Amino acid sequence: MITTTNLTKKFDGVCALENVTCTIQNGCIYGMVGSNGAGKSTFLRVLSGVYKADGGEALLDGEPIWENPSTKAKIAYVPDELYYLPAANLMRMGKLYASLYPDFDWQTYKTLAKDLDLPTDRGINTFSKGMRRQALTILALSSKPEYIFFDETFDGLDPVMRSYIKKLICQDVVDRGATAIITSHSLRELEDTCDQLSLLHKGGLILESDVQRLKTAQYKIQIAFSEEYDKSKFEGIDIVHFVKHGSVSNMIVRGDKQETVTRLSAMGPVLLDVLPLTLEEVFTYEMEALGYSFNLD
Amino acid sequence: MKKTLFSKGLYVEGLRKLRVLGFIALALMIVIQIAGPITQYFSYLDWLEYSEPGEVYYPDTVSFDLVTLSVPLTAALVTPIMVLMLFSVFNKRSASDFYHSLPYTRVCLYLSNMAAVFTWIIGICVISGCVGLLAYISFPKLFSVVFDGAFNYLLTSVAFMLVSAGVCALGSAMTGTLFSNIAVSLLVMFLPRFILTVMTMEIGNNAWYLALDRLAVLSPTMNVYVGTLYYLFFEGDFPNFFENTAADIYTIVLGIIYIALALLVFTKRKSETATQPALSRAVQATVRILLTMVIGIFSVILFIEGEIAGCIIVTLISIVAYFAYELITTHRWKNCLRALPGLAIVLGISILCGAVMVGIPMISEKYTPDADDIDSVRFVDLTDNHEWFGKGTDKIKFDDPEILDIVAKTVKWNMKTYDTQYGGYITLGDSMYYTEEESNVYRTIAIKDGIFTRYRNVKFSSDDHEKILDILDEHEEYIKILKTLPTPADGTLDFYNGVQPGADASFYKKAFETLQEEIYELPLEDWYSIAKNMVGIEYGTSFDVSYWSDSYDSVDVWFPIPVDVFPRTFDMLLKTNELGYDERLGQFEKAVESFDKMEENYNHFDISATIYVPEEDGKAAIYRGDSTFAAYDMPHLWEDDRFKDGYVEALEKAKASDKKPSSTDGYIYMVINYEKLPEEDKKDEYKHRWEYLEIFLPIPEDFDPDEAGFLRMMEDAEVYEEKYW
Repeated sequence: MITTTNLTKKFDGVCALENVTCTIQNGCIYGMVGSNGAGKSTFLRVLSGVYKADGGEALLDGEPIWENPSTKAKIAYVPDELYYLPAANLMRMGKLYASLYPDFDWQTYKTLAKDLDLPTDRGINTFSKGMRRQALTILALSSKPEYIFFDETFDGLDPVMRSYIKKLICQDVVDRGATAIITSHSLRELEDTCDQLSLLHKGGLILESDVQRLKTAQYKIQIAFSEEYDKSKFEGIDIVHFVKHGSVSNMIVRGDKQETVTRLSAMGPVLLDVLPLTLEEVFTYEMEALGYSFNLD
Repeated sequence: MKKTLFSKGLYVEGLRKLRVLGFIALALMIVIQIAGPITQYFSYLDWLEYSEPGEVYYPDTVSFDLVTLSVPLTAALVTPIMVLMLFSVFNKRSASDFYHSLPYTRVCLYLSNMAAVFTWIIGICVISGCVGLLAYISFPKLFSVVFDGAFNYLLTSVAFMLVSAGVCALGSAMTGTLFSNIAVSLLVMFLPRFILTVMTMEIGNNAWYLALDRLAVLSPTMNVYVGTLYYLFFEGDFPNFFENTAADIYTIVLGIIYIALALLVFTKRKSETATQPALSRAVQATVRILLTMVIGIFSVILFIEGEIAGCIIVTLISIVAYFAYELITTHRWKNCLRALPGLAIVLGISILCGAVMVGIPMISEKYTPDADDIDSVRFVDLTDNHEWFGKGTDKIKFDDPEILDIVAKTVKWNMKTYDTQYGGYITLGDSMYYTEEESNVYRTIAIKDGIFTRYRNVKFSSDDHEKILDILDEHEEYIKILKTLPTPADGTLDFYNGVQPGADASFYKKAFETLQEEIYELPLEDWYSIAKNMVGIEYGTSFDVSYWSDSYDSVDVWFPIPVDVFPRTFDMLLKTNELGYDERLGQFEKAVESFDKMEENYNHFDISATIYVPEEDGKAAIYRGDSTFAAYDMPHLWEDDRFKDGYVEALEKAKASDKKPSSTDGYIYMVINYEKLPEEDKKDEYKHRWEYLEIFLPIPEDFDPDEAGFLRMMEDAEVYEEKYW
């Protein structure tokens, strides 16, 4: 389990992470979204032991991460900015990882390289951006870590490869009970993969919830009445967002769906539709409710 | 343990990263090592082709440092490149993040990488050194390897390796770009010693009485790496570090400190330092300030010297350098503005340096102790590592009241007149001193005063110095050390000018023992003058002794053996010259008789000869030269065509004399100017070697002054030259 308490990191006086407190349970896929510069990469670097926190603490299974090899041995980190040895091919990088990670599994490495059709004897510098990311993902997964961190990992991957990589991550979590953290600036990339989602904004964690709850906790209702009405007509219903065009209103509502529908039906509407929300919409409305207003992508 | 201090995986990875450079360096060092033996081997083959049956090839004596030249070269040149190369990965953000995310501590990263560097360096040194050693010892006919000083030599190489590795590791740990890695490494390596040397020189210039060279730690050569470059640039030569164990140990300790400091900084280094010119603003400011001080120190000196215009110009240059560094490393004009307050620190350091440079002479000038205040005095005036005279005497303390009194008075006088060039007479107490330089004797002394020892260059009046020597002459321990010659190293003892054949090893030993006995009998003042080469010697009235000592780090011992100072030794040596004198006279006679015939074949300008003729008073008249020189020596034989007659006359005189030559240089010889020989007589095999040389050689016993005789003589000369020159 990963726990951070008031995690803070500053660069030249600029606060990249500010009092981030969160808990990431074992065996889950934790998604973290946020716009560019929100602090996602910094968060992962602190969790990987690359950065030392300026304040607060980050614990992995109750142990500090910074300068703690036994804890760091449980982690594989696939950064946004990829590193490979100059003029190295995938096999050379495999040997490097094998020498550095004692649990490196050559069978997994071979299988994944074959499945992804990556040549192991060709220089990685000749690979496309997507291929390099695949290569590094292979290496990270082959290291068999308990915790695996992906920073903007779907960047540069084509849709087919994106879903394959997601499948690989999910499989790894299911098969081995690993814990994954994936960061992205695009919520769409994460909504079908993650168990838990959080939103980082300007260094602060402003929302954290499990995906299922997020998806079901809010829903959109389209309703119309023949008579004139306004928002006050729906008093007692937890409306997160309300827009009225003519006689038709669109509402984002929080609370028990069945109970709300029963109540609205009793009002005799000429139109009543209940629509599911995309995760992106849930986030947008949640942010609005918290006083933030921005587009996630 | 494994992952906190050392990782085999990281170590192997480090070795891999360095393999291209490592193998190139290894190949280069092997080439350097075998180049000498190969060249010599081809010379040997050449010799074999042209040598006569029975001729002997004399092997070259090569020292251990030449045989394993690649060892210090690798340690000094390859180590810094490898360290910078390996640690430069931390200048790249992605690489830095990658390595810091690995399950190893920063200590482990650092130590594993350093171990990889040291493995390569030691590997290259061992392999190339062994190849060199094998290449030389495999040809015993060509080389005779001397292993003297091997330990010190290896110690110096270790010092090169450690200090360069430490400095570059520190430079890399402190900064995050290759430019700043190199810049800071250079600063760490050279700046402290540079500032120290400049300040020492300035203090020394203004206070000649401070014997700063006695404080070894102030010498640039204490750091073998800096010292080597210092000597190369300023002296055009390599310093003899391989004999300076103190410098080796100092540099090794310094290297270990730098390595430890680099480890400490590396553990504090953040991954985000990559691409940054320094790991923090404070470090960046420190580097910038120190860099500015390289130039700034000269503006301080110019200010002290009263060169205000120069001071202003240099100050402006240093300010430009200050901002230029900031701009080059950060690429932001705004940072120049932020760096502005740092100039105050530069000013502060400059004032501090200036205060030290002015203050030390001021404080030292005030040190004029009374005799009662001085516990003891040591005479430590050795100026050169190679100087043998007085070695070992510098540790003897003198507390003789008269010496202390002279020292106290002289120091007072010196301090009163230290800046007086033409001071004339100065009265101090009961004594009157004359400050004209020629009448004084400069000595370096160590004054023990309580817990302090102060080294001073002291200007003694010649009278006082004589008094001191008289007292020293009575000091048994001092005299014994001063008058005991260093033991000669095997085979190096030589007496010249011209000990004749017949002087075997036992003769040399006996002559040396006699010389030592005579030195013991000599008054100190005379021995001091001889050993310090302060006596004028008439040509031909002195032999010389020369050898490498077996003690005192192989110093070169040389001094003359004048007939009036060492008569017994002189006679012994002269007797060897008398051996075979009559025979040589006969040979010379044959040569002179054949001058006419020789002149048919050769221009007599090409021939010159020397003969020493004993005079009635026992001294020698020296006749020498070709036709021109002969005319100078014998004015009555001015005309060139009477050249031969001069020799005939000299020969007759020599034969008529019943005395042997009392000159040290009784070696009769002829000189042939090979360059002027007729073309048909110039053999190719001689030409390439002697085209521009004169050939000095003894007249062969079977000298035949015809054409064939000359050529044979020249062949003998080749053997002679190979053997002795």
